[in-house]
Amino acid sequence: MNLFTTSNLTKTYGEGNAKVTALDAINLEIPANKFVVILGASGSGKSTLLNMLGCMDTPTVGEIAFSDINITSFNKHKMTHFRGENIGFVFQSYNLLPDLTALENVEFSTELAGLTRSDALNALAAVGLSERVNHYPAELSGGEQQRVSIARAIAKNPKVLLCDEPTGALDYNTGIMVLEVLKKIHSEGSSSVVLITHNREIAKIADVIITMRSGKVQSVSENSMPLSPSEVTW
Amino acid sequence: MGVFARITARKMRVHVPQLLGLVLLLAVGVCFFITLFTIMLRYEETAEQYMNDYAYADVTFYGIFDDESVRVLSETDGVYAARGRSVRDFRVPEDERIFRAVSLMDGINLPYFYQGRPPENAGECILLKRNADAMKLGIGDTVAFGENELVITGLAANPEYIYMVQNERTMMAQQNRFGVVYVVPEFFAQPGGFDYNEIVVLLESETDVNALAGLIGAFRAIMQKDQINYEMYRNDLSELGSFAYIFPLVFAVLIAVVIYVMLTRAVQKDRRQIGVMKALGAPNKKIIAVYLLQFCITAVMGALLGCFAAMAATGGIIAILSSMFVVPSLGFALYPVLWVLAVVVSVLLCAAAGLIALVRILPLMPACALRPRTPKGGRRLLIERIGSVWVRFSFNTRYALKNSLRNKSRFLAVVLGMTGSCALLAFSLGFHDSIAETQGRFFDDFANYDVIVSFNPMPPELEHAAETQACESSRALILHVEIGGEHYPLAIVEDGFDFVKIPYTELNSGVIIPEYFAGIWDAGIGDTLEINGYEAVVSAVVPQHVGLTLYTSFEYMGTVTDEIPPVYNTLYLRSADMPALVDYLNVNGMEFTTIDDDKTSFDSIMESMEVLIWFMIACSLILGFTVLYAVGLINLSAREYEYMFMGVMGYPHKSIIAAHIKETLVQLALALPLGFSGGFLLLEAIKGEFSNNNFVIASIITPASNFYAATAVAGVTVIMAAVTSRHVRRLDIVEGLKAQDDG
Ligand SMILES: Nc1ncnc2c1ncn2[C@@H]1O[C@H](COP(=O)(O)OP(=O)(O)OP(=O)(O)O)[C@@H](O)[C@H]1O
Ligand SMILES: [Mg+2]
Repeated sequence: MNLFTTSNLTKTYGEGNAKVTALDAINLEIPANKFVVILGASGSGKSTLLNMLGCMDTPTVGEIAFSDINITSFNKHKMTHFRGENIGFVFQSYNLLPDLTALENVEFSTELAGLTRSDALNALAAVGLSERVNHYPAELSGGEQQRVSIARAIAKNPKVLLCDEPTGALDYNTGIMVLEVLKKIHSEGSSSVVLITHNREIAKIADVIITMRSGKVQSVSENSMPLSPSEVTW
Repeated sequence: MGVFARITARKMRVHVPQLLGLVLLLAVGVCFFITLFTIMLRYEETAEQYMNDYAYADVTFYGIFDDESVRVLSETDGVYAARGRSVRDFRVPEDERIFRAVSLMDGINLPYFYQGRPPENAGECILLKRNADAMKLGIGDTVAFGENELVITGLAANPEYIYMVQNERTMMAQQNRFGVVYVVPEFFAQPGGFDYNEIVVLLESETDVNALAGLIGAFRAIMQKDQINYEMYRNDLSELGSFAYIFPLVFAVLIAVVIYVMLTRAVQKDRRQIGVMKALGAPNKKIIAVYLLQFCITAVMGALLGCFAAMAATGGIIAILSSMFVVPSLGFALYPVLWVLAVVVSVLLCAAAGLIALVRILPLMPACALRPRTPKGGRRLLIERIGSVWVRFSFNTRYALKNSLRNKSRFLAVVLGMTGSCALLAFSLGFHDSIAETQGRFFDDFANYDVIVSFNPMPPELEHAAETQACESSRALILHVEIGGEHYPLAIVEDGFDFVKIPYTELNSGVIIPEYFAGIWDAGIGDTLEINGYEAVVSAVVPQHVGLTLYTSFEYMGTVTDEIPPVYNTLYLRSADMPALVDYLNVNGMEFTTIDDDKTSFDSIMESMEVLIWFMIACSLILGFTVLYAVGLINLSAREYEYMFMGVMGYPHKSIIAAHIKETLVQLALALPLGFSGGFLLLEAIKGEFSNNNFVIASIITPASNFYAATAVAGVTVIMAAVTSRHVRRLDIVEGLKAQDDG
């Protein structure tokens, strides 16, 4: 069964002259338990698509099915619940809560999912940050912040991990490290990963590559020989 | 502690100064309300109990009575008990004091003893303790009555003298000038004279008091509820009640505005964080809790602080008010209901104001909240479009103007804060003005007599002894007539009467009524009034403020009915030699009041009001300071980045402050006139509470009061500007620019 199935998924912003069609009638099937990369130029609609998949926004027209649940029919309350239960987000700009320490940021997620502090600590250990759990985001480097953000996303064992340019703000080495963490989590756990990038090299680590252009899906291809993150360079 | 609690705690820490300001505002508002409301409740409970326990008479009859009249009344249905008594005023010529001797009775109007024992013979008396304190008399001292001297054997209070009511005009006599003593009935015994001039009665059931009066030939009957003493008591209760609401209401509005502005600002700043929380699946109610909890905690703290402050204030204020009214055993008591009410209302108020601020951001989809806020369509300010005007301003002025217009809610919050404190100050000062004005209007613009003498009705062919002693005199018959079921004094005067300033020519064409009654009866010139069942025409409406009376002439009354006898019971006198006149009236034991008595009564009303006025002024100042401080801080934190940026660009500190000051001046210019009008509106609103059939307050706020109010508000503003200046000077540019990234 597919993880996500979209039919005629369309999102427009604004009205009249200022109208922008960010997603243009997309019919897409994203398989489960795969490491999926969405590749496309800036402004092609990647983030918009990811937001729809993660129930962060509602489409203008069309539907999305998660497994066989129609998530576009959800009301706000159900959307919130759905996000909390099934989706882990990793943002390009980390988006940690500045008033909470690394551990507390992860606990924010585990608490909502009804999990314990040790789950949060395990997640931080998984991203190699056991040493820095009591530091505030302002006291961590960008790479460390992004790893906290990944720990926060995985701590509750989500069915899907949605990552919007997780390496966008990081230098090469740190970026590779973050990708390795994501890859490791994918291979060890049961989560599907959907990762956005505009970098063709990064796309090589994926099992499935979806390319987008001007709000449309251009191609969906299987990669039979995914590379490990350490093998890619840019 | 869960993560949400920790976020809340850490966010609170950042807002400590503003939250402290809120705590103070809430505390002052709550303290004001609880203090006045507690006093009101205490006063009502204790006084009712007191009047019951000490058998305050239900009706008092005036006239000439003997034991037979008392017996007749006692045996009438509906009457529980009746007692005859004598009441007479004695002037002490040496020191201008007046003592009223009242005969003691068993079972009605009982004295409450602080000390001592009842009098046992005609040479002893008990004195009201309030008089004893004011006159520095004690048990064993003597009081002179004509030739006699009475030894004081006890100090007491009495429910008929909760207020020192001397007569209708002197409702609050000075306690060192007018004293009341209770004596044994034998004190009044005189051969061949009348027995009593009053009968006091306790009723068993609803009874037709007029019929009772007819039965014994009383010329006047006053029910308890119509006694000035009792009326003033009810009046003070409702005044306390309305004051208890006015201040806290104004506070509540300002608190709501401060919270709204604070929270709108905080929520906008945290827009992204809220987006993240939502993206991570945090339900709205948890996010709301993070932002509302800090205000709810603040509300609880502020309210409790106010409750404790009220505990401290109540006793003191009761002590001061006791110079106005004396109710033994009136003291502090705790009303837990009021505390709960204060806390609940404070929390609801803060939560509601916070929710209004939150509803704008919460419905956003997380994807949207994570993006920066869309600015409002790049609109140009109206003033920018009027190009020619715009370019003439200096950059500085343009900057100040733009700020004012851009941050409307913050700008308005400051204006509202200034307006509120200015209005309350103007109101408090104006309250003082109004009493003074009322006094002026009565003594300067209305009263034109030196002395009023009252006596039992006399036929016109008999000349009253006092007439011969004064330079000018005029006779009148003052009746207590019934209009619409209530009793009002009607003065029927003779030709040429000019002892109060009214349109004399209208006396012969109808009844001249006070403006206040005209409002109550909805009557105007030419309308018909039903007076004691006769139809009379209103010939003029005049403003009157004290001892409201209807005036007409014997001639006009003759055209209305022939049932009014041509007798007179009152003399209005003017004299070139007042001391001699007063002396004469004294020696002859006449019942009279001088215009000076009335003036001192007024002075003591003023004195007792002063406490309340100072209390209000202090509260207004605290309010003004806190609001301006809290809003000023919010303003500052919102502007920090802007100021820093200007600093980075090399814009001098002086110019930044100049821009700030210009903005403040615009705010003051808007707020002060609004404050003046607001103060007057408040005054008009409570005017009704302060008016009754005896006293109508003239609401006025003098320019001086407005000036003081404006000065105080401007003063607080200057202090705030200084705080701002210091703050801007200390801004750390590097820190600040970094902090902005989180936002
Ligand atoms: N709130 C919005 N209002 C108007 N237009 C928007 C809004 N959000 C996105 N768009 C437009 O929709 C299109 C797709 O945006 P999206 O953010 O999905 O692109 P992206 O592929 O993620 O680009 P990038 O790689 O730069 O992040 C863009 O043209 C963008 O301008
Ligand atoms: Mg994007």
